[in-house]
Amino acid sequence: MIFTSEMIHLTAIVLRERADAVSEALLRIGAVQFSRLAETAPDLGALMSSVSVDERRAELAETRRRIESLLTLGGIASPAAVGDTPWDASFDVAEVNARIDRLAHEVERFRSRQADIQRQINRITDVRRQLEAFAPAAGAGGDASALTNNLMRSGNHQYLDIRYGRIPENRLSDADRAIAGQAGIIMTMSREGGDAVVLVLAMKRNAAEVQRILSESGFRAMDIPKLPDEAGEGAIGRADEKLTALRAEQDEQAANTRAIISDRRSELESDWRRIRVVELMLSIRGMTSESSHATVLGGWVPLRKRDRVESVLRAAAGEACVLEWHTPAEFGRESGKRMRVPVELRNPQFLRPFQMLVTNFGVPEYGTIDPTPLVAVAYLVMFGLMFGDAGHGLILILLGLLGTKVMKKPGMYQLSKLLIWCGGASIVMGVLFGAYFGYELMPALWFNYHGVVAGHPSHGSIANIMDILKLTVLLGVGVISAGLLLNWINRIRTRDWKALFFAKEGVLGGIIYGTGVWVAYQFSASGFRFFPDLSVAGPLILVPVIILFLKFPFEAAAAKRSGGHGHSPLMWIMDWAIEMLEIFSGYLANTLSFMRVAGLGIAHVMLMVAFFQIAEMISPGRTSILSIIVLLFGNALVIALEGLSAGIQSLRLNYYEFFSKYFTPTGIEFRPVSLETQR
Amino acid sequence: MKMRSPVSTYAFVNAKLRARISTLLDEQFYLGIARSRSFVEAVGMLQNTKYAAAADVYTRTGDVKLCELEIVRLEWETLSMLRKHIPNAVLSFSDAVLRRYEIAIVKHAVRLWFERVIRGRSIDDKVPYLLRDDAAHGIAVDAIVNAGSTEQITALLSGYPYAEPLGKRLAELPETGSLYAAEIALDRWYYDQLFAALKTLDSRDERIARSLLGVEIDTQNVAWLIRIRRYRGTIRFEDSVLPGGRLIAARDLKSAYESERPLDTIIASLGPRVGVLSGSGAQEEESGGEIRRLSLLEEMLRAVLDHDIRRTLGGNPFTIGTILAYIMLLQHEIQTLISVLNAKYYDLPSERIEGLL
Repeated sequence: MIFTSEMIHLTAIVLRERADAVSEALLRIGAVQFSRLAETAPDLGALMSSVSVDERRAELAETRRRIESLLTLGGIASPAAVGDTPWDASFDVAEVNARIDRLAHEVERFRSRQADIQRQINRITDVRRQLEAFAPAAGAGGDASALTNNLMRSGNHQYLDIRYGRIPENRLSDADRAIAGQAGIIMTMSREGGDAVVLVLAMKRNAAEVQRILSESGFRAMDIPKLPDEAGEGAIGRADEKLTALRAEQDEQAANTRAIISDRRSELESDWRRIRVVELMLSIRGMTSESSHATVLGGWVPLRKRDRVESVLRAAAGEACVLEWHTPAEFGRESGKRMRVPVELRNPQFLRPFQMLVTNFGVPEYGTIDPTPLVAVAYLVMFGLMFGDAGHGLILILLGLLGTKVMKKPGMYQLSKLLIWCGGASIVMGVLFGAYFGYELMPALWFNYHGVVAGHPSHGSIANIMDILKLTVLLGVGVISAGLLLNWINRIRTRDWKALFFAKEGVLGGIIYGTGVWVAYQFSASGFRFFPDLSVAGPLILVPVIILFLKFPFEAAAAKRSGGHGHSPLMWIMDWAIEMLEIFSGYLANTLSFMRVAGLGIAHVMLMVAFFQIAEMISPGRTSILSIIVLLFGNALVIALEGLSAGIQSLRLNYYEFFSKYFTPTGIEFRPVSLETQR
Repeated sequence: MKMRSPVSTYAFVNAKLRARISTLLDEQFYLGIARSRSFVEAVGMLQNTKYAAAADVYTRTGDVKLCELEIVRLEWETLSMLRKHIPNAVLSFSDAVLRRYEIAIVKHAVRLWFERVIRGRSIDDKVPYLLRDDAAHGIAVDAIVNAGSTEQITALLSGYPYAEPLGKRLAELPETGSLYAAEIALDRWYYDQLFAALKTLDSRDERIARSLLGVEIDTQNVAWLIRIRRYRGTIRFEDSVLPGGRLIAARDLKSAYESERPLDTIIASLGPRVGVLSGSGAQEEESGGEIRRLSLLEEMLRAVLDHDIRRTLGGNPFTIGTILAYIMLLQHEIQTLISVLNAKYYDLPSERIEGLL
């Protein structure tokens, strides 16, 4: 857990007819990140041919995307993984595509019907738009008779064709349909002796066609009377009725679309899984090389899985195979160059949110420290110090728990879990500070942060704001020192002796920093009056500084020996001066940077104090609804603003002050091909 | 009043727009639409983009034109929202640029009126696809569509700056029988007010804006000159082209206007940079090669514009260039998206659609 997993490289030669079986077996155990033979054994790779899979993979990916698109149309999420779907050697993608074509065609049929309905909707909407202009109140839609009278009286209906008359009742529905096709509506005003007395509203531009339809329907025109207010249906209401009915019909078609996709859901999901398995198989086969009888495959495996991979592979190959295992160091010895070994970070589930923070920065170099557990501690301590309130912590935990239920995306899910951790840190620090939603419900176990910031007399190790600042500077010294120590361990493990001693985060840089911290501590202990005796500190700083200068001539000499060009003495001095500047000002800035932890913590307290004062000003000496609202709002604001600030600042301190000391983010993530592999 | 520095003027909007530029659709996306095997799947690809609302419209209505209208509405909405981030110093210029939406709406309404009144065709199925609401800024688009005469249209536009350029040309409609003069009058008015607004910018911004707009104008001039040859004689040269082009000089446009082979004249004026287009003779022209060469020329001008946009974005970030480049890129994205969707809807082979990109 503290270092990246040890990896080993497998090269397997199997009979060509067993290649698929072996690939499938390795896919199922999901422990191998495959590599091409040309990368690890270029000579052998040149003798064999690689397997071409690109075209087939592109075809499969396209078909899979089609399925995903149709599932989305049906409101169904695509499957996340393939589960235990078997690999089907005879899988026919053309057959799947033909099925999808048929389904897409069916969907298009519904869409076409929807489009027909939309055309009717468009026409009625057009008439409605004109009618609305004459409505007593724009957008009113209800007072139909008033609207109709308004229309009649205004005489200003220049775009509307308005007719009044009788139609035989048995021809009314046909006429209604035909008029609807001409952007018009028929309103039945009354019924008399087998006839419907109707008001016909259409667009004037279609007057000729409306006239034809009405004539064919036996329409007999009448003078438009002054209609009683209670008479007839509302024109806009009638239009809305029709629109509602048409939209319902349209929705039904949309629901039908979802239904037909839903009916085929299991088939589509099954196809998706089968395709995915074949895609994964091809991604393995694409990395293999072949001769007429043999297939060679290779890749990186975590050392602890070596035995399992070997037994599965031998079984799949029917024992007819040759296996070779090489450590990264063996590769290095043989090829004379360092291999790019994939890096597996292996942390327990509960540390995954912090692993996410690490990988967001980068993947550590192979063989070095996996900073995840250290980040967990450092991040939570910093967050707790900045956001120490048990009540606020409880809210964060509740929000985090809600997030884990609601958030589906892996990143957001881990972020929610991180929120739970942060809430826990806030509760612990809140109990130590005696802070519960800004109140001191229980005495502080360590020191009363609110009291100290407010200037109340306090005893113990932290008595005033200066003490809080010192505490955070000490935290900074601890974090930076830990970072340096971790860097030295990393350099020893990677046998990078030069960086161990001569890099600015190396041993010499560490001695300078340690001495600087000691001098600063003594100076502070004397009340910022006297520096300590420099007979010890002086040489401890000067000697490393001189040695760090001497490395430049040595580097130049080494460069010349290997046929290169060494820098000139002027450049040595320039480089050395810059490095010294980086060491002295950089370490100072890095350490003081931790004072932001105090700054954020103090801001957290002061904001709460401010809201308490506002509440007190609103209702002096008592509690009122308004003062409670102010306090609720204040707490919510502090949780949102300070929570975000504390989270970001903790991350920043980890990334720039801690990681910069020991973390080389040049690794490549270990991505074994497995049935769980995401696209 | 103290002038604000370019950094304080453009810093915020520049950061905002660069973030938005990174979300523009890339060629792979269009290729994905082109290669999808059905229109339903093509529209489905919009679901995970900023045009998801357009995909929803299609899913609800099955109406591709409404889907397109929604895309255009989203474009207008995006640029309207952008307005609140535009620095005051260049607001009048950006407002002048955004007037093209109003002009497009007026043109659309007048075209529908023309279809109905002059050509006597039914427009019932076209009226719903007029952009109305806020984008029209109160212009009575339905009244224009339903107007009885050109005088009525002019009256309906009174109070808007379009009444004057449009009214004069609409009055000539009985003689010309074409909307070309009216539309180009609106375009001329658009660029006139745009160049007037350019004068409110500082000299560096003015130079950048003139350069970018110049190629846009060249593209439009080429398209107009070639496509409206048959109206030559009914409209004066001065009224038929837009001033302010960058690559094609006014005298070359005039020669093209007077030439029997305007495309050849323009290609010749552009010199060796369009060598691949030159040398095609009358034979090819007769066999439809002219359209191909015209689209190649338009492509070339588009490539010049793209190059200028990229160069502007890669240069000093604190100029009007970023704003103008974003507007142009967004408009190009919308045009491309609508073209590709239409091509897909009309079942063009994917190779042909890819050729459009």
